[in-house]
Amino acid sequence: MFPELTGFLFPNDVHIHWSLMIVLYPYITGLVAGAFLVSSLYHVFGRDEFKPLGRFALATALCFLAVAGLPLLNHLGHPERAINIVVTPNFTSAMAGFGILYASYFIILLFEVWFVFRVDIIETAARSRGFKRRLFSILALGVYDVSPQSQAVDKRITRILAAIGIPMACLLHGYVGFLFGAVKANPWWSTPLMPVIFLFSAMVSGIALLIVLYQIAMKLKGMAIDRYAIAAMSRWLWLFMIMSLTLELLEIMMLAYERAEEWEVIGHLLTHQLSFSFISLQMIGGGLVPLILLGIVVLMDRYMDDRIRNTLSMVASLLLLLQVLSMRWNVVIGGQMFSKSMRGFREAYVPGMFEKEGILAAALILFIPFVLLVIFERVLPTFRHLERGDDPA
Amino acid sequence: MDPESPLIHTKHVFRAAILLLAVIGSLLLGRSLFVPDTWGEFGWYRGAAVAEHRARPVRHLGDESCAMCHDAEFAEHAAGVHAAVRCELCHGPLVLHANLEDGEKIADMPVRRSRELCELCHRKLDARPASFPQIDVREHLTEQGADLTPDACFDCHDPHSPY
Ligand code: HEC
Ligand code: HEC
Ligand code: HEC
Ligand code: HEC
Repeated sequence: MFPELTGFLFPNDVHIHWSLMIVLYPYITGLVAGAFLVSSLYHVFGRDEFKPLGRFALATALCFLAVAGLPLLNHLGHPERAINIVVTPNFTSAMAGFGILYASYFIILLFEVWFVFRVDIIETAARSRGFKRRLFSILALGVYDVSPQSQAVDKRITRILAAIGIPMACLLHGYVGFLFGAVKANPWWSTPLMPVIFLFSAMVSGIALLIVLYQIAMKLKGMAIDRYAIAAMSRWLWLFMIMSLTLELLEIMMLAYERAEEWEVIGHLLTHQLSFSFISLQMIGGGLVPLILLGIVVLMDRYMDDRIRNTLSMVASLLLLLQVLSMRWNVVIGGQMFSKSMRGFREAYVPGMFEKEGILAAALILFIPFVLLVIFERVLPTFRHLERGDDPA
Repeated sequence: MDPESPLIHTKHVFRAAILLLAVIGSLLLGRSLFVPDTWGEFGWYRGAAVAEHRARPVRHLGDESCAMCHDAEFAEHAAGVHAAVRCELCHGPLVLHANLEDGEKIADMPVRRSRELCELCHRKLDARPASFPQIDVREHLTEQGADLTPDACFDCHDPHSPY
């Protein structure tokens, strides 16, 4: 059936072509960028409070990066043609950057993981027999040097790779924001702030994901949750969420204050079609509430019982994960709900449960990285250095 | 290697570097395998695509191609207000349906007896030229005293000649 239309719509504004999958794609790359940043805070900037998480964050970034392309492939009618944009990129289109950015970032991340986990790979090879031993000695590239000197070399190279990785992660995710920011026909997207907003909300979602996963992992392993790590992550999360919320509000205030012709549709969009996902989720439930919760965690850190800190940061993180998802939704879907004529709307888009690009498909894609993470953890335990009590990397 | 050399502990780094070069090399090689031979001949596309497109069989043959077997529909349609709307637009391409050479039917032609077909063009949209006949489906059906059913339009309008 045709969607309800109101006002003056061009016939090519009637359908929402960028579906839930296109909401998921920036969400996942954002999680990658954020998780990577946390690992870099330890590996590059030597922030010791992130030591318990340094390796876990890296593994998380890798597992999510591995599926980042899946929503796009599922969105395409001819996924096999995706290779074309990678092998013959036409740089008059921003999308052409994808292959280069994604491949180089993936390579950097893989090598960083290798240098960080090299000693564990060698130890696993030494401990096991048969096929597993063969596999791990290939993974170790046939070198079994675990001397302190070689580990010092690993550490230095990890640092360099992590340092290169920071701008790469920002580029990979900033380019996703650029894709939207550079659509000049769409006033809800077309702002130079867009890549910056995407980057900050990426940091928010990545750190929030780590707070949640770290606490769950510690519970499952029966290990103690490191209070300094949680306190530090809450601090960074608070900082990044304030920045990201400020930028998001700034963009809207500019539009509202300028009152150019596009405000007619955008103002209406935010207060009507998107009122739940924008006002209730992005601004209040996922914005104001975690702002207060994290404020309590950060400002009253000294007086706080560990369990309260853990709970508050957990709740705030879950809300922020929802906030970033709704922000992606509001940008991607919201931008397609009004006509480029600035004088009409289509009705709200509700993805179906079992559609090709529906809710089930999205849930499955979001589920894969967690499976990958569990497998990774089985093969190369990310918290073993804590049990051993020695230095990672 | 000399056991005193400081490089003795960087063997794995060299192996990793070789691996990196191999990865980059295979990516470049992979790319050269995937880039089509005639790429860039005329522009940012596969040159051979032009000839391939030209060689593709024609699928839509126009209203006259139906006349030979459906002369009644053809005559009715050509005389009505829908004369400008191609048969194959509402139905489907001829090649899937009939073979003009031996006059044989190949497969059934789709018949979209649904109000969505009409709404595609006649649903009221402010962006359509005001002179184009368009209706608010609900209002129109109420005015004409009909119910909103999936094939409501066909009780009163013949798709081939709506008046
Ligand atoms: C070579 C002869 C031939 C040509 C040319 C031809 N058709 Fe047909 N068509 C048939 C035959 C035979 C039938 C089956 C008639 C029947 O079952 O009574 C048929 C049936 C149909 C039906 C009814 C299908 C149904 O399920 O009830 C439609 C619609 C139709 N044709 C449309 C077209 C259109 C449009 C064209 C031109 C693009 C066309 N045909 C060209 C032979 C032809
Ligand atoms: C505006 C869309 C439209 C156009 C244009 C159109 N048709 Fe149809 N046609 C229909 C619909 C809808 C039906 C089903 C009508 C019904 O069941 O009452 C149909 C039915 C038919 C049938 C089956 C008749 C029957 O009673 O089963 C034939 C044959 C046919 N069309 C041929 C043609 C031919 C030939 C042309 C071009 C000369 C043409 N149509 C143009 C929409 C169209
Ligand atoms: C592909 C687009 C298209 C489809 C589909 C289509 N029409 Fe039309 N219709 C037209 C065009 C074009 C005209 C001629 C308009 C003109 O004369 O300016 C027209 C004219 C008409 C008219 C005459 C209006 C007038 O005031 O002159 C009626 C009634 C009509 N169509 C009904 C239908 C019905 C019922 C259907 C569904 C079976 C249908 N149309 C499907 C394009 C379409
Ligand atoms: C109960 C009979 C009836 C039904 C059902 C019906 N119509 Fe009509 N329609 C008419 C009559 C009578 C006219 C001409 C009178 C008029 O212009 O209001 C008309 C006129 C039209 C026109 C021309 C309007 C204009 O402004 O020139 C269009 C387009 C049209 N109908 C489309 C449809 C479509 C699409 C449907 C199905 C959703 C439909 N009609 C269902 C009886 C009907």
